[in-house]
Amino acid sequence: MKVKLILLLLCVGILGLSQNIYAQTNRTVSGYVMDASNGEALIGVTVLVKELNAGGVTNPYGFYSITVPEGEYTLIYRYLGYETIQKSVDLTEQNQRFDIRISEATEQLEEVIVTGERADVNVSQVAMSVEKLGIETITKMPALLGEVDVVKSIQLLPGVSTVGEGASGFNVRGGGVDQNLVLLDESPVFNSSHLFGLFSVFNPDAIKDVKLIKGGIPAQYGGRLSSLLDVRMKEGNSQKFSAQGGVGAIFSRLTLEAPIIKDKLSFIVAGRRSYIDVLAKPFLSDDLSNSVFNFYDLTSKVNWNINDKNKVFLSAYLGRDRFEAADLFGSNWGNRTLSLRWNHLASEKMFINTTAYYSNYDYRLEVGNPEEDAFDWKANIQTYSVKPEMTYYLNANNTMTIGARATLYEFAPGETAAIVAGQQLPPFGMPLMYGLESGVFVGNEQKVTDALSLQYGLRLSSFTYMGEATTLEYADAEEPGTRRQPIEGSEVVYDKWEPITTYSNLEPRFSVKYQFNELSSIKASYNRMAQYIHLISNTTASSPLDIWYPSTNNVRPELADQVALGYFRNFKDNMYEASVEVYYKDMRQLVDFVVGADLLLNTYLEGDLMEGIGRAYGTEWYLKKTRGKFNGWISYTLSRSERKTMGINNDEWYAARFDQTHNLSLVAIYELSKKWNVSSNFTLISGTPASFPSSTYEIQGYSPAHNPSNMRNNYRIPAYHRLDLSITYDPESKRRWDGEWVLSIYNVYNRRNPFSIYFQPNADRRPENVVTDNQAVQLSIIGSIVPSISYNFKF
Amino acid sequence: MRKYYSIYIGLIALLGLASCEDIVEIDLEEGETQFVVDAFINNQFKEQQIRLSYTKPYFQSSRADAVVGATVTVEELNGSGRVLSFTDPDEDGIYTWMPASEADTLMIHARTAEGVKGDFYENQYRLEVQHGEYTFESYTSIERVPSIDSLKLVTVEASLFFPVETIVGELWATDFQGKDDFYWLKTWKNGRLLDKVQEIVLVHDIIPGLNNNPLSDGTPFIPPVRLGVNPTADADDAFNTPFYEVGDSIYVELHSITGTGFNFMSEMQSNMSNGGLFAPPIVNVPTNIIPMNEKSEGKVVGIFCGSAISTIGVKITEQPPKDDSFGF
Repeated sequence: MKVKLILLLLCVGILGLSQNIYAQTNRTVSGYVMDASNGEALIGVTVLVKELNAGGVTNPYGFYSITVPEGEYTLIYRYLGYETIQKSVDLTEQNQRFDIRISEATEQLEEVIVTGERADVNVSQVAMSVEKLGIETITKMPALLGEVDVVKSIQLLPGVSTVGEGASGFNVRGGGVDQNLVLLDESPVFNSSHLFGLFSVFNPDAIKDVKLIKGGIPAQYGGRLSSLLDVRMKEGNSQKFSAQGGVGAIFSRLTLEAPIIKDKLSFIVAGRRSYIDVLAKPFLSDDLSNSVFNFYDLTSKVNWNINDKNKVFLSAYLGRDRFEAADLFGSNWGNRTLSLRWNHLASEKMFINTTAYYSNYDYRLEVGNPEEDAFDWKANIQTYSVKPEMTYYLNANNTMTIGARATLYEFAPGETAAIVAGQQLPPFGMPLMYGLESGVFVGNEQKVTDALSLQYGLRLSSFTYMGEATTLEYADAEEPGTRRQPIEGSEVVYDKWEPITTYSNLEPRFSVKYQFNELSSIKASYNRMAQYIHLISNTTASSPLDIWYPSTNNVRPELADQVALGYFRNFKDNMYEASVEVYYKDMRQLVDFVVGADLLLNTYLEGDLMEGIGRAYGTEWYLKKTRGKFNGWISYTLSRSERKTMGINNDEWYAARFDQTHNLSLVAIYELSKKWNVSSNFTLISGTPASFPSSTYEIQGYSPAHNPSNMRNNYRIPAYHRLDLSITYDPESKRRWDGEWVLSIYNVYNRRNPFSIYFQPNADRRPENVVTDNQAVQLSIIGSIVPSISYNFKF
Repeated sequence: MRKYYSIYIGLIALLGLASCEDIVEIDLEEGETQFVVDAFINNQFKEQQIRLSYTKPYFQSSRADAVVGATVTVEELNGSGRVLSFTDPDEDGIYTWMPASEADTLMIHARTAEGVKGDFYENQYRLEVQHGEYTFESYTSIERVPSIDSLKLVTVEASLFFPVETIVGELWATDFQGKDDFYWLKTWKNGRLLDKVQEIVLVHDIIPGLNNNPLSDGTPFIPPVRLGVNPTADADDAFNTPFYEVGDSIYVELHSITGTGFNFMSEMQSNMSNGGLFAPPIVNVPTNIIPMNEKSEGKVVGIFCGSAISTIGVKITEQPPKDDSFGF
């Protein structure tokens, strides 16, 4: 099967290249498309060659390149919300470079959209299972405590879900939260949440564009099974100084951007900080006066436009959650990323981007006073990576991408230091672990005929677990699902950088689009993904203390194959976009945990890990009104996500914790007038599965929960539904200062949505000689209506 | 760790996002009934009890039905080879045996001087239970227990974390050299066992909870263990009751338990405190009771575990000195 597919890919590739042989002299028009007001590169601008009804779109750096037979043409640059520009181009003599600045539409949107012959991009592009949200849409949606949230917004799209408030991350098409590759300017972010799942780490003021790919993932991306969330930061205004910010219930934000040298060098710095501790300070007693409860993030970027051919971007992110109660207790965690990117135009047809990044996620927990008794625990994951990638705009019909990636990981799964009665105990922890993940890929996007387009590629990925390390072998479990014991004498010592185990995977990727007419198309895709690092978490919500762990001699990489099929149809001049997709995802070698697994600071952790398989399938329905005073979307997902692991649930399939049969979202944004905007969203989600006991028994007066049938996730908690509202008032001002008030109401009808139901004895002291009294407790993380007001400004 | 999570939950509440917990009514399917063996034996010159009962529906608060008419024996595998017969003349499911004299009490399994466990570890006593066609067996040992050095009392002034002045007890004892000593610390306040789920104090060498660190061994217990002799507050009391006051009595027993017993008790404790944002999936508490025939397969839960016991008791007669180094 695999071999056949590769052969097919090769044939198609040759077919694509062979078209070149008979072509006449070709010319190329290329350049960058930018926002006229601030110089920001615009991603996904459609550039259409009117005469040929062909063209391209700008890449994440705003670059486009179109190769056509020599001649005179008209180019149309089109981008939603911006003026459409037409440009004549003479390509009879030579290639042309057109850097274009387009302005935001000043009139109502409908009036400026030129009714083109072409269908909108969602129908015409090859890529399927892609969700794009512009930051303008995200900022208009109601948000918890008025904090505009990238991660929360994508959860309203088809195929994306969460197990509830307070759960970090998100689930895509039945995958775990660790199966999403979250990239901020190409650098991975390992924990995308502040305060657990309540707020995302991305400052909306610094974000330009958010794209989620759920299926048909192109060959340049790899390393996670389920999705890619590509978050792109603004570059910084290259025209003039500007600032924006806001004061909300949780955060205050300030973003500054300005040119250092106009059109050449610009920067953006965006900071947010929660200030609950500042407000609380006067009320804290002496022993707590130096307490810290806050979370903050700082996002910054410098953008240097060296010359026509070279651009450099340096982006940095620093985010932290800190909870420290005087000398008694301290805990903090956060991400740090630094990425350096270099765009180089080797020719009009060849765009090369090289990214080098460093990323670090760490946490720390401290208890006690170092002079007497104390405990200090830290863990982290660090990555260093280089990623050169070349896009070759071969001709009007083929765009090739070739690249490689090498990532060095250093895992510190946990280290502790303890002091007992003033005596320092020897430090204890799990040793550092090293891994090298590499990948080479080649991909091509090919227009075969006007109707048929393909995107195909191949990625060869590999992971080497390296020393220095002492490896162990584990005996088979006595019974499936139970702990495996290390084999005595099986220790093997490896030197620094000495390879221990290498895994390699060939990952084919394929997408096809057949377009019936301007308004409708059908698409299909297949992708294989390999994931070499694993989040070790078996809790309801993943916690900041969960560790990342590499594939080792005892832990194999996780693999997934996904097929998807979709029908895309637009109505009324693309005012309405509709799509239906079905998908099936097959997952293997998924990390699972033995019964009663001990995941924190366990030297023999690998003995507590097991392998399982998974399958997820579903159908996603989406209808979006793209413009007009009233816009928004309806998204509905019907899906199933199941796991099967020997030793769990009597070796039968069971619903994964994040399995949600129905998931419905409605988002409506209504522009009442120039001053008033109203938006709302409504979510209805089936209850997530949970394991409930049937019996109990008495041991020493205690009565534990017991389930003789051993069934996992045998019940479901009640359904989740919630309505949010937001009203924005933007008093028009003649001056430069532009302010707006946002009133948001989260959970309008005050529902106590269950996060989980758990079973516990009554915690109060019971009468003597009476057994514990058992009860079922429903936990709601946000159990009330949450109104808030915030003020945002821009100048 | 769970304690810190609840601090986080508290913080979320602090942010005005009222997280809340409601007691709800749930209809649970009835599970298959199984035998329950509750067999903790010890080295004391006291009546030894083994309780046999049946599993019951989860929400049933009345006592479980007793298993009557069973044959219960404990065989001594190192030494005398005697077989102790536990009997239940009053048919309440509690099968008892009384050592005839102090010399007849159950004995501690001695490790070597280096702390090596030897062949009799968890293989010193064999329990056999027979009821009709059902037969079960299980093995355990009675392990060494250190003596208790002192029960130190201090007065801690009111603070934000603990808003009333209180007397705090601190238990000092030193773990033996040699890995894998397991203990269960039980405390009685004014004659009443502190038996809330959070008050189960389980110790692996010197720390509460499982401890794979080969180096944390053989020192005094670390603070969470030492402070494990203090009661926890009831939820609605909001820490307004002192742990101890002048006039109270404290009685502490330090029980050695086996690795299997430790595992059983910690699994049972997590099972009964499973909840909140970061709850792992609920799992059945493992058992060390082994079915001896096919009919008995999957028919039994429970624990057989031996203990040696050290004790200390004090009556608080005067206000102990103040100590501000306690972090509450």
